[in-house]
Amino acid sequence: MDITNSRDISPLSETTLYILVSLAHGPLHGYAIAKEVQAMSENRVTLSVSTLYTTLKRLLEEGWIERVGEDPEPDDGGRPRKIYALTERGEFILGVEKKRLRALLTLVQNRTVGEEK
Amino acid sequence: MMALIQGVAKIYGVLLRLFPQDFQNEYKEEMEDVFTATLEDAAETSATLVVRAFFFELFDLPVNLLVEHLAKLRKENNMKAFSYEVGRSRAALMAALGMMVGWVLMNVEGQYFFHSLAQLLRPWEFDLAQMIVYTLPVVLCGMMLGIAAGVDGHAFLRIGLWAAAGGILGHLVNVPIRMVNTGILARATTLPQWESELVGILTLLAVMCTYGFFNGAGLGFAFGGWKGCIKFALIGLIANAVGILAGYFIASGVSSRVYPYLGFQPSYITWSIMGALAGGILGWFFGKERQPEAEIMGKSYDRSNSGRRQPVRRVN
Repeated sequence: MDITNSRDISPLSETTLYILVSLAHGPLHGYAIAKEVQAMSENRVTLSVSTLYTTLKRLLEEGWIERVGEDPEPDDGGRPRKIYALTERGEFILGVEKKRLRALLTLVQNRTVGEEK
Repeated sequence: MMALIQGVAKIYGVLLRLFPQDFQNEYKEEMEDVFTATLEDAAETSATLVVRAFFFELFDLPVNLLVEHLAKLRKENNMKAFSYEVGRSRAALMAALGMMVGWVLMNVEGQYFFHSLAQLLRPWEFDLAQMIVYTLPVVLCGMMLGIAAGVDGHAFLRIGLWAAAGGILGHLVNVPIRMVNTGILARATTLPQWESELVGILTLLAVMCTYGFFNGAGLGFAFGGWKGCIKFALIGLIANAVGILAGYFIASGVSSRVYPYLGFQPSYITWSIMGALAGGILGWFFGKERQPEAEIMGKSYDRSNSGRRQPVRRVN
């Protein structure tokens, strides 16, 4: 992996993080990504179509995700949908972000021990 | 319900055309499909949700449009997308027209609307309104130069953006100059008429040359990158200086003849002559006559037939 400094890519924006996490379990098409993000965030995050696609475009350009084909038989019988998947680079970045968030959570937990009571 | 979904999806499809062309080519169809699916989902609950989904998209769209256009600008290597070399006479005429209309509007607004606006608006709103009006001439001039150069729709946005940036910067730099000018002009009222008039024209020159410098820089950058920026900042300054001075004397002659018939001093005549001269000079330098081929937005145009420009196949 040619990323030498994880500070260059982390922290990720909430939208980027949600999209990468939604693809962590397997490839999805655009609409499924939007629905998955909504479900994961318990309806707290709703991506507009334009936000979704401008972010997908950026992630494709960065090489964090890739198109892996088309949904041959869409449910609505419309045009075939393009399917997106995490690349190795995307997985690496997600891993870096996971470590950062875990460290942050540990820090918060350690600092607030006893305060919750 | 189906009609509502189709109607809303159609409007959305039209709005998606505001994205840069390459983005549209890649994602427009997909976005339309996903949006339609979102609407169909919402329609299962109620029509209100369909409308809400549309407005949600609508509010989110401007930011994403801006993001994409800025990304496109960055990609195009500091805006050096096309040459500013267009026919001299055409560019001069178009720029003169743009600048003339802009300066007349600026004058009309200043004379007739700003006094009443000052009482209606809060100070910052008034400043903003003034900035927009004073930025208008350079944006109009840029648009006209864009038409003269035959650029496409996205290039107009680029020209508009940088022309506006130049205009706004010029306006901000002019704030302290105007403040100094106000003091000088107040003192000049006690001077004899010709001296007072001289002070008036010199203070006007200071303001308009500042505008000219930054307006030229903005336009030059939009058309020719940093090289064009520096070159046209100086040309803009000279164009405004010559336009103001020559325009002032020409207009004095014209209005002295027109005045007795009209019964009032028509300042818009002065401003239209000054604007036409300043814009014309700026446009003249943008143009380059007798060029056999001008490369504009990646397309080559054959001008050998001295009529309509025909796109020609580029051979590498």
